[in-house]
Amino acid sequence: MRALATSGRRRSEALTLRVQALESALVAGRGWLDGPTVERGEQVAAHARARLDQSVDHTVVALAGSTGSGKSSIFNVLAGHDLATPGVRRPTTSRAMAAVWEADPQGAREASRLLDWLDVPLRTVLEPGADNQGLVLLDLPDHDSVVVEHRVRSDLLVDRADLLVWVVDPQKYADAVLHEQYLRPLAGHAGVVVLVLNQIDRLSHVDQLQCLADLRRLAAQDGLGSCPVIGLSAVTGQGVGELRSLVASAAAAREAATSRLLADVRAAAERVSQECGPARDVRNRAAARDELTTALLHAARADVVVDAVRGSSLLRARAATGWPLTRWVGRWRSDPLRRLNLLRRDVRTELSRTSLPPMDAAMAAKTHTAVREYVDGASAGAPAPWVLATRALVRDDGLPDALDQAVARTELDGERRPRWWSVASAVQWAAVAVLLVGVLWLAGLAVLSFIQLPVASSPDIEGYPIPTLLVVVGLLLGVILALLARLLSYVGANRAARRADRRLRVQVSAVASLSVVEPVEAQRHLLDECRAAAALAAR
Amino acid sequence: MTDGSTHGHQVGDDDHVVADLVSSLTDLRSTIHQTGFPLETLTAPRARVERTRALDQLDDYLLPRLRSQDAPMLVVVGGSTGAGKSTLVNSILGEKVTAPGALRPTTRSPVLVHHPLDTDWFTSDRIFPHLARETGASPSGPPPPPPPHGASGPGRSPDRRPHGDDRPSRSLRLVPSEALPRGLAILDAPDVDSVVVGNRELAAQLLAAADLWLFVTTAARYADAVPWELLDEGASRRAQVAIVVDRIDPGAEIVADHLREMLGARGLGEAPVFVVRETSLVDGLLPVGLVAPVSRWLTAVGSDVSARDAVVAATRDGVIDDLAGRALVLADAADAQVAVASALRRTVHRAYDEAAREISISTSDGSMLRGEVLARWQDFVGTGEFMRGVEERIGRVRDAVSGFFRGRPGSAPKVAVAISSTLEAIVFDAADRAAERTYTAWQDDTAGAALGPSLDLSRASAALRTDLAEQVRGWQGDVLALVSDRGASKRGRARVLAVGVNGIGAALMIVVFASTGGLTGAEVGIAGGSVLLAQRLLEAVFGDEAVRALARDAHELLTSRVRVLLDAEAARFTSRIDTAFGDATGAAPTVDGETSTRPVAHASTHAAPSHGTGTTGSSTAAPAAESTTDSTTDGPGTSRGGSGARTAAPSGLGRGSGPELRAGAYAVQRAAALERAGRAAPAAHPTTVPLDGGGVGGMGGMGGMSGLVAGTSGAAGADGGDRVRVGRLRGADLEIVDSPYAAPVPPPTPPPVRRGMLSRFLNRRTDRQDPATGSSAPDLAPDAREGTR
Repeated sequence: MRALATSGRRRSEALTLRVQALESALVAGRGWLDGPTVERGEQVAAHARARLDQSVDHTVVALAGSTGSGKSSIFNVLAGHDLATPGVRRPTTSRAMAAVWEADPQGAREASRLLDWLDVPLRTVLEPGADNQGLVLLDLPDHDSVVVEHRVRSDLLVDRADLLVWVVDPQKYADAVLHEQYLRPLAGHAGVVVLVLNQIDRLSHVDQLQCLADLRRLAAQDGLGSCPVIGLSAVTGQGVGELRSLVASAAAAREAATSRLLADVRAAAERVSQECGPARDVRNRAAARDELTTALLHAARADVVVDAVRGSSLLRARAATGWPLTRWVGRWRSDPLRRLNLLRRDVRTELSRTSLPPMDAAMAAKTHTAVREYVDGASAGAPAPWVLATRALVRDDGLPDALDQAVARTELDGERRPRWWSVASAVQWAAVAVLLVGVLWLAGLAVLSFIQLPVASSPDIEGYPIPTLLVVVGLLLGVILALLARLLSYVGANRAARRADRRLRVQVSAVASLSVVEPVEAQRHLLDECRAAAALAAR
Repeated sequence: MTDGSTHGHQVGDDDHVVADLVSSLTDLRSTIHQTGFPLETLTAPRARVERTRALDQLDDYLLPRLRSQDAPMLVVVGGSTGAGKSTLVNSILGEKVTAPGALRPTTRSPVLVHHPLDTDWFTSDRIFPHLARETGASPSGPPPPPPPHGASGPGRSPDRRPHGDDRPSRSLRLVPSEALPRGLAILDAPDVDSVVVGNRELAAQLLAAADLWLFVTTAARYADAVPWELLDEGASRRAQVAIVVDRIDPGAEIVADHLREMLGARGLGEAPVFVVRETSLVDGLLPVGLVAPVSRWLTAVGSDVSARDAVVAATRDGVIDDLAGRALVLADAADAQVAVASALRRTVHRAYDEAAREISISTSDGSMLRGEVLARWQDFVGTGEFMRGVEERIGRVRDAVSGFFRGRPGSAPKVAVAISSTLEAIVFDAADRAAERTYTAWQDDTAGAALGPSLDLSRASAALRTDLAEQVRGWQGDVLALVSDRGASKRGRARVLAVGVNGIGAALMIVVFASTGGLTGAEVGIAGGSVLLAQRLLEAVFGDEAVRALARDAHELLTSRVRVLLDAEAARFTSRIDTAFGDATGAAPTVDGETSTRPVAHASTHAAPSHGTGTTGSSTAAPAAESTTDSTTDGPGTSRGGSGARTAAPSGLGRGSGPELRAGAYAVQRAAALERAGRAAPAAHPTTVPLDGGGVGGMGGMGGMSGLVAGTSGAAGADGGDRVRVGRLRGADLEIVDSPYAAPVPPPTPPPVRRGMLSRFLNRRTDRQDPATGSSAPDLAPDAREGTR
């Protein structure tokens, strides 16, 4: 007895775990699972929790069947008393009736709570026999009655019973209503369904066998291949013992309560699982990500910015290292970075837009297309509702602004002054000084000669007069240095451009992550989680 | 149609009136046949069922019944599975014509029992044209195995397959029995509620073709929901019903009273109810005493010509009324289909019109000229960064033009390439978004979602990229052609040649992209001097006015090419609607008689392929024959663009639309009213025939039957009049104790004329009457006339 109770507890714990898994699958999939699936899943989970709150030591066995199939007669035979009144006028049983086998008053209270939950007010407590302690037997109203209320009541109890005994008779066992509306939805529940062919005494022996075989065939068609099929006659008593022992063993094992719920949870989880589709191999999406980033870079006019950085660097290098006497020409030009409103010292990036040309139609189109391509690639093979939900999640309306901000945020080194600029500048100025000295010297000599004053011959080096040398050297030095500096500044500008390109890529990639990649990944995690949880619940 | 035409009550005018009715029914049939309900509107599921039923009613019952009014009365024995239908039929006849069994469902192929001389009525495809015939009784042999499920049914000529359904092929077994009076045929139908769907459908169809229902139920299941649904439906079309409650255990007779109550509550209170007790079978037959009331009643109803005609007429009138009502329901549903189809189309066109508008705006407001196109253009005209600065500050156009003339001619193609890629990006994005919008809208709509748009419909089609490139290239070709064309006729020919057609073309494209609403870029001031430069260049070559015209023409060419692409994209959606309508009506599934796996072992008399009436000629509704219904409800832009895809209208909506159905229904009602006025009004309760007081018991019944024999011997005489024997159902001559009727039989006074029914139709008729036919029925129902005044 104790061993049975522990096994029951363990089973109910396992069931609780499954219910939790089902619930988390439903939470993860709420955005895109089919409405009825979620509804059914929630209903099953709630029902399982409610049933687990009730006594699992009691097993609810429901006698269900069509009008006039003899449910009440079987009920009476099993109960051993004439509790229900079978009738010829159809429909007969209008309210469900319960018989409880329970010796323990505490157990009786629990059973009573269980029956309250089942909404069965008509109940009789009976002295249990050797094997049927804890059995709760229900006599249901007809499922096919013309009185709709009966059908509703019956359906409710069919949903909540732990073990279902479907009573059919030789006339009606092939009714479409029975098979299509009741047995087929129970597919997979073979362990908690018993089919009873009542009134078997009306058939000849050969017909009995054929009929039972036919019923088994139909049950297999309904997905209840392994459920027991019993031929029974409430009048002659044939088959009653078999049914009684089947019911009693179910009650004694205390498994029916959890088995039924388990089957329900499993079926609901199976449905969720199916909607999740098969797991997809998550290939490396880095390439797709790079593509997206490149497209967004293009859209953010990174090429323009990089060109501007290059131009700006060149301009400033020229201003810093050019020949001092012609540097002023560069002032005529404005810094391309300033034109783009990207020069750090001028702007506070958080507050202002760049002055990059606004995204033109083609750029916007290319951005949208790139984002769509990424999302499509990431959701290839996923279930359609999920794909739609993911697409709805990724909005690219805010992208132009975000990209603009990303560009504005990027450190573009607009103020950077490499050290060699000052050196070159100093040398340039020195060259200018030399030139100036030479020029002044020559000028002095010229003035002296103009006013006819004697001029001492200039000192010379190897025959070349020094002032002339100074002028020549100053000039040559300046020009050569300027050319050299220009060469170097080209190299530097290209490096600055590459640096800017790298940084822009980092920033834009962050934007892509935030507004496209991450939402998609999050959705995919939800899908995986839903699938995994559903698989766990359905296992 | 042929051998019964000499019958007494059908002469002169009657023929004419009935022919009118038949032709109006035939018209209605073809209209119904052409109407499909492929879209999942709210009413569609019901309408599809109603359509099938209406066609079945017409094919299986109404048309055959009207064309041959003297055909035997068909009594269909229907009921729940296991109710004992077959046993009852066997017991009435006194011979085993069908094989009852314990396994459900039992009667797998329906059995029709008829008098040997009535064979001709049933071997032709006059009724049940889709059921193959088997002849010969197989009293104890097993019924033929059921056909494999889903096998498409041949066994009839392809053109007789009325409405592309896929019912499993069935056959009808004909069993001649001399126990049956002439003029009476009994059909043992399959279960109405069995787990085999095919059985259920067939049973419902057979019951719909019955002149009289013999509904068999049992004490255990008389309260089942399914049979009552059928009975309710029968009551609604005033089918003549008799009920047999089988298998009543001793002491359970109360169920008969309860059953009568239930019948009364459903307007079937006058139906005879026969009670058959549960008993053991003798030789597989019920004891004669138990079936005597049924036999006796059947004999009384079936052998007396006037009683029989009354039953037949009552059922027929009910069916005609029911059919007319059904046609009106179908008309409403067809209207709904049209409305939903055009709403779906509107959704598509709205999305793609929006896309076209977006493209048109982006290609004309100068926003295309900000990016790459501008850069390439500036490269082209040879202005470097310095010149850009100069342009901005001083605007020295002349220098730029001189730069252009010195410019690199090789860069003109680069401008074209930049324009291509930009245009492609814009159009592709717009098409993508339009597809997504349409897809989402369709998904949100039940009918749209049911058309099953797959996920790849939510994106522009895969072929769009290549088509797009082609069209853009085509447009650039157009522009160049335009330039050389206009240049040739202008004084600037030399200048065109000097600059090069490519250069002028590029300049024109630039100007096109910057001309908003007739104002060219220079006037609006878009993109600064670059466009101005192009503008001046063109003006220098062509002149002021010509440039505007050129820009306008080039833009129109672009718009129309884009339109073609978008139309093709939109057609991916609209073609689904068209296909749905095409499938639902125009193209009925072809019947492949050769490849069938249907067992034909018993088949001896196949349905003759010819039917000979006009009912089938209309089944070949030419697809896309009529587009009027739809094109009027199309969105804007129907006439724009040269796409053929848009003009393909659904064939199914063309002729079988709501108004036509309505007209057909009224025509039938009119013809039916005329036909009814030409004969005695039907009895209120034709199934209530006197059975006691010697009326038909013993000799009385015999008298009636001999009357029948006398009446038909003319036709029968040719094939062996001496073989004619009076059919006698088992126990028909026994005295019966319990009356099957709820109330005592009223004295056989002339039944009241059912004014209500008649005037209802005349009201409707006169409401819609046009002057031309107004005089056709002047004296039908004066009270009805007054009612409308």
